[in-house]
Amino acid sequence: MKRCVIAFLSGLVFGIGLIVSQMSNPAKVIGFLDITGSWDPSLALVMAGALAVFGTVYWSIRGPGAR
Amino acid sequence: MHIVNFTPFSAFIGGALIGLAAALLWWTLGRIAGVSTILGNALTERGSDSGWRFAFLAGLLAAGLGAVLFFPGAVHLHLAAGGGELVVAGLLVGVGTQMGSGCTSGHGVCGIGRLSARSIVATLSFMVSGMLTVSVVKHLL
Repeated sequence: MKRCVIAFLSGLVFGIGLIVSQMSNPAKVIGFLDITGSWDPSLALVMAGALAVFGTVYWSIRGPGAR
Repeated sequence: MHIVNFTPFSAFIGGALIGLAAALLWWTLGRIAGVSTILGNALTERGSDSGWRFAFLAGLLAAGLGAVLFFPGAVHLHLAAGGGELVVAGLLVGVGTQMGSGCTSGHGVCGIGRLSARSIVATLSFMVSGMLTVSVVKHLL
């Protein structure tokens, strides 16, 4: 039960991140892929933000996912 | 190439939230927040340890539903494709992510964050092929 609550919260925060970053909008993703035309670099910043947080946690606090 | 619609601040903050969600899932459950794989396994795997997948997907949908209901101004949705095209596109995404064992979240965030060579190759592959596809469809056809 506790695992499901944590998983729900993770999904919720993930979804809020998608809305805030506007990655829930297909036009923003297509804009990133349109590098030869009207380019919207936002997706690169989304990945940078996500990697900054996830990478920091992964490489500093080894959790049960560590092999 | 010219830059349009660039929203660096909201993109970085939203990305940080996605990273936080992935870190939470990995740290507490030891699971990778790969949305395509979670969905795929939720539909195919049965067992005592499958409930968290449905809970994660429910949270994801709850965020979208909550945003539409309570913050409609924050939700931007521009779709050029019609219903039939969306079904075909969705099927292609499903087949591709199963073949590639992941998508932007699993490979692009968690995999690259773990410095997995397989995920770096996968992310470069789907980004480059996506860029080629958009260039061809939008500018050559």
